[in-house]
Amino acid sequence: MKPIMMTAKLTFVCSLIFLLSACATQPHQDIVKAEILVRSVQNDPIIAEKAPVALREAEESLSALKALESEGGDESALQSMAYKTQLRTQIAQYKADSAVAKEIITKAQAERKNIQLEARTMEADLRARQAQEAQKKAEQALRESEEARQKAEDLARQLTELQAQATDRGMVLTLGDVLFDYNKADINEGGLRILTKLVEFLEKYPERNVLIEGHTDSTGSDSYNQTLSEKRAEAVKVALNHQGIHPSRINAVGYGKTYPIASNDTELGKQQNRRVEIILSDEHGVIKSR
Amino acid sequence: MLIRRIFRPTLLNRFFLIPFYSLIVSCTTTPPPYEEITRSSYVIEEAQEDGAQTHAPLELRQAHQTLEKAQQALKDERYEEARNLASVAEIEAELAKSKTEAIKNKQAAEDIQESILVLKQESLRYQSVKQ
Repeated sequence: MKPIMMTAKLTFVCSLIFLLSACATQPHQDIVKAEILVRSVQNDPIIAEKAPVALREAEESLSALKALESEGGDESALQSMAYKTQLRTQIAQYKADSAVAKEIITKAQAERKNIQLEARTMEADLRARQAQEAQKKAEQALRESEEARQKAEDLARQLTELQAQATDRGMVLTLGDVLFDYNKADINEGGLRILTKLVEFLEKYPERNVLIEGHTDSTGSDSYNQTLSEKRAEAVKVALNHQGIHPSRINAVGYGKTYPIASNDTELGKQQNRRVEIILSDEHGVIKSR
Repeated sequence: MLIRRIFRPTLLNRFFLIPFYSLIVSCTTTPPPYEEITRSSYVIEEAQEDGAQTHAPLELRQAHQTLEKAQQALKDERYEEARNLASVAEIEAELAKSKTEAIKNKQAAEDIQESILVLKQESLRYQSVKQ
């Protein structure tokens, strides 16, 4: 064989290969594009997981396209099939997007429910605690008012027992002449009994002080009466002190015949004027002076 | 007996039947594609009901146009073309539908996440008020 023939043959083969390769690339651009698109959605793990049906439809469409191509289907049929395949890949993408979004929604709904439940529980807790506190406060207030009422009641009862009288200077307890020995400063038994009640009262109300005032009638000299009144007041103070009342709470003064409460002209009036008045202080220990 | 003999599956008989087969096949491939057109109109309607007009207007219009072409081809008795166009219109409508759904679902997901954020903030404020 001559070299020229060899060259000619080689040229022929080369041109044949070229022609064949040209034929091989002949498939429509759309078909290539469709195949690339299908491969890309196949390689997307999210689409494979979330939109398997749509993915299979795209793959089947591509298979049909390939079959049509190998059968030598006409140009318009190939183009149409390629177009449909492209649409299928887009659909698969959107279906996967939808599925992902739906999953987010499902999770978020559960989360929202939890948060709402939590909030409601917290609110209920708070309400319960507020209610509890309010009730406690109400009970406290009731107890306090009850205590105050009880105290006032007790005080009133005690004062009644003491036969104290309300005056503008406060509650005044009067020990009559008959509770003292005649013309003396010694308290007799009847007087002591009354003082015992007073001691009980003072023990119960430690914030209250007493002012003890001695008074006499007009019989006898001023100095005698002054001394007697002072002695009698002092005697009451000593008696109270003996029974445990601190002297700082007791003030004793004598006024002699200065402040009569009845006429000194009659025997009854004189008797009324011979007396010891015990003035109870207010709850702050204060007594209005004469 | 006679009928059986005529239709006995001999090689000769088979050859005789070929024209009939081809006639039947050609008849089945060329009927007017009413069903295909109806189906694609139905999918287009579904897409519209989903809100494709708002979320995928281009895709929806494309499907409409293809369907109109299919109907024109049907009128012109170009049945094969009409059938093909109808199937294209159906897929185009499906695309409009799936796009619409994707957009709506994404929007809903964003909305609910937003509402959770608001709830969490409220809850935090509530806790700070409580303390």
